[in-house]
Amino acid sequence: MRNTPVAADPVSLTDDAAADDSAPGDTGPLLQVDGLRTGFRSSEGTAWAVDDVSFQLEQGRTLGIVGESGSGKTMLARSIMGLLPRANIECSGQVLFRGLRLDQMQPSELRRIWGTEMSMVFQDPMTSLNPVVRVGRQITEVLRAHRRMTRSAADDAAVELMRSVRIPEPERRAREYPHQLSGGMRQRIGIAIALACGPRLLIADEPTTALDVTVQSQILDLLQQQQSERFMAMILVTHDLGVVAGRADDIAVMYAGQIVEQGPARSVFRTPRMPYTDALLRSIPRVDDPSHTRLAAIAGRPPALLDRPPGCRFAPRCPSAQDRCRQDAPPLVGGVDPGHRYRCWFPLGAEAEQAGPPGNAHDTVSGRVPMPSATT
Amino acid sequence: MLRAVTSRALHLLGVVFIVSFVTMIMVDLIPGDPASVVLGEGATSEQLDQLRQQWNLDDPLLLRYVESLADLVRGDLGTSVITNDSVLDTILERLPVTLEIAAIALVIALVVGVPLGIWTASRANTWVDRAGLLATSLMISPPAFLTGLLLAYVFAVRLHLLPVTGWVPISEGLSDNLRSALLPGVALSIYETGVVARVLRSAMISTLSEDYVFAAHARGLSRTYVLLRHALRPSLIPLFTVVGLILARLIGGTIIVEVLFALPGIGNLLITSIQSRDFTLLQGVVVFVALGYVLVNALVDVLYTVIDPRLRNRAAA
Ligand SMILES: Nc1ncnc2c1ncn2[C@@H]1O[C@H](COP(=O)(O)OP(=O)(O)OP(=O)(O)O)[C@@H](O)[C@H]1O
Ligand code: SF4
Ligand SMILES: [Mg+2]
Repeated sequence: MRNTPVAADPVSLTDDAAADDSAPGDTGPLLQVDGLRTGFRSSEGTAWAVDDVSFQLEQGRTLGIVGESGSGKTMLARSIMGLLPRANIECSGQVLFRGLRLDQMQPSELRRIWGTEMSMVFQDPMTSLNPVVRVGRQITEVLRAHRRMTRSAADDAAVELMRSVRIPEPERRAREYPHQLSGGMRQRIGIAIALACGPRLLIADEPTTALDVTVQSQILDLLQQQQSERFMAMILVTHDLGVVAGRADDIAVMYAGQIVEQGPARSVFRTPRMPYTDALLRSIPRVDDPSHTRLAAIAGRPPALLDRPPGCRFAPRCPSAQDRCRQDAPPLVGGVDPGHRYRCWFPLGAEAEQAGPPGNAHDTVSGRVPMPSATT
Repeated sequence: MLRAVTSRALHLLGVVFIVSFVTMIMVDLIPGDPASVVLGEGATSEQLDQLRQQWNLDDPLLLRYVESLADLVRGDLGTSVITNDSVLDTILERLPVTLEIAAIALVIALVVGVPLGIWTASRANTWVDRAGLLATSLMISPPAFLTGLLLAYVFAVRLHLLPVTGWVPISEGLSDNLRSALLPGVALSIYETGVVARVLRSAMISTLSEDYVFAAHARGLSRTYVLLRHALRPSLIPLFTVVGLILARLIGGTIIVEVLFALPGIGNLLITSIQSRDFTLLQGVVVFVALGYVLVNALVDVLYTVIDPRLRNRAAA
């Protein structure tokens, strides 16, 4: 685990209040989110981008959050960190991180956690790195701010970090500006910055979406490898189930601000219950498919924030929607597999246990578990 | 790099050619004969002819232009037709006055305007920001002569803190010199301070919405650090553009304040040369000021590449 001098070492390197290793959170899950809601206030009411989301994440594990564009993944990630603008935002629910109520913390307290205990890798490394600051400095500034390192110690640590994220010639690269690096190299810098202070939780918000297809799996592999070496927990946000296949321990599928299906990755991939998850699985492009085309795009668009249908939010696009779906909102409930929960009145492959009408059999993709390399 | 320098130098020459040509035409268009103005009412026609010949006034305009250009390229701005002094020497003698009040104005504008711009941008849409906007709009509304008169009235006439008019050269004591330069410098600075604060504010507000600023906050860096280290520098490009304009305005445009406070600077020299129909002097001053504009602009272009590394390759190409 200690492959770099700045690798996560909870005892000697963390600072301040959060450093207490016997913090109450260490006995429970690393992160526990309960009933989290985040909305934008407007003249027509509050538009809930994140609507009653709950989940847990244990130390060292990876949660994949999957959903179409606009489903609220980024807002969820930001709400967890407390990285929301104050104006016109409404936020409620609990975020418990190592026993600390992040949702009740002041920005000044949160700043001590951001970048140290909990850090973020952004979607587009071109825009999330400052174009007029040398990349080396963008790594060292975090070390110097949080770890009070001297300039030369931080320089050395930055070079080590760059080496650990496999940037060739780190000493030379450190003196370059973001525009002088390729997209993949820039994202490696983004990852190095996020890892600098040895976080326990890494939130990667679509870390490969803006990258060239050829480097996407390299970056994902790097994240996965760093995650296991440092025994970090990771939230991997993506709109592509193929990205999290084989990389996440648990999956949460988001639709219109809600988690519509969640559970162990194996269970969700093998027996998706909610038709939306099933549709997402079908839209994974496969490496053995020479055309690399989407197998089946989901027809229609997700509902607008302020115009969500009263019943199941997926009903207007769902091939197996019934009257009940359009009237009552299905709760997030469990099925046979432990920990596997979904929001659906008529779950797939569950006719036997559910009181669904006959003839509602779906052509599920059961057994078609995509390989980890299917990340295109 | 060599190409960049060469193209700059060519640009400079082009500006000098055009400016001197235009000035010559304008001077030529001023009604009245320079020779008769210089010699006064009672001059005989022989005297006039002699003078006209001496200044080649009867030659075609183009020929006179080419001749003066040849002098210009040698760095010779000629001699004043009135006093016979070297034009260049006269300008250089007046230059420190203008430069000093321009420098005072610019320093005040930056020292007050930059923090004000940063502060209001970081508090955008709060009462701090709104108060700042009101203050800066008050700064940029009144013309310089009005602020100058007002300042002179309050600080010189009423409070007797500073001299009303006149200039004390540095050679006669730094503190007296500064006292004589302060009011005109401040009068000039007020408008420019408002401009600096407003330009920096809007540039910073747009930088603050960039992803990399958000990302810097998400790394737990302090507000002040993010503001000064990540947001300020990218916002300096529009500021430097404006500072270039301000400098140009101050070099050539201190006229009103110089006249108001009776300062022996370039602005006053320009006025005198026009009033006395001293066309060689006038031409010299105009060309000199134009050169100043071009040099300031070249400097600003270089500063862009210092601020933004992305511009470096382009500048060299
Ligand atoms: N400032 C804002 N004001 C109003 N609505 C917003 C604002 N920012 C985001 N939204 C809305 O919130 C919803 C969730 O946005 P979010 O960015 O979290 O989606 P996402 O799942 O991350 O999508 P993507 O895949 O495009 O990143 C979207 O419907 C979006 O339109
Ligand atoms: S509740 Fe009905 S509409 Fe919603 S996903 Fe299930 S079957 Fe489809
Ligand atoms: Mg997003």
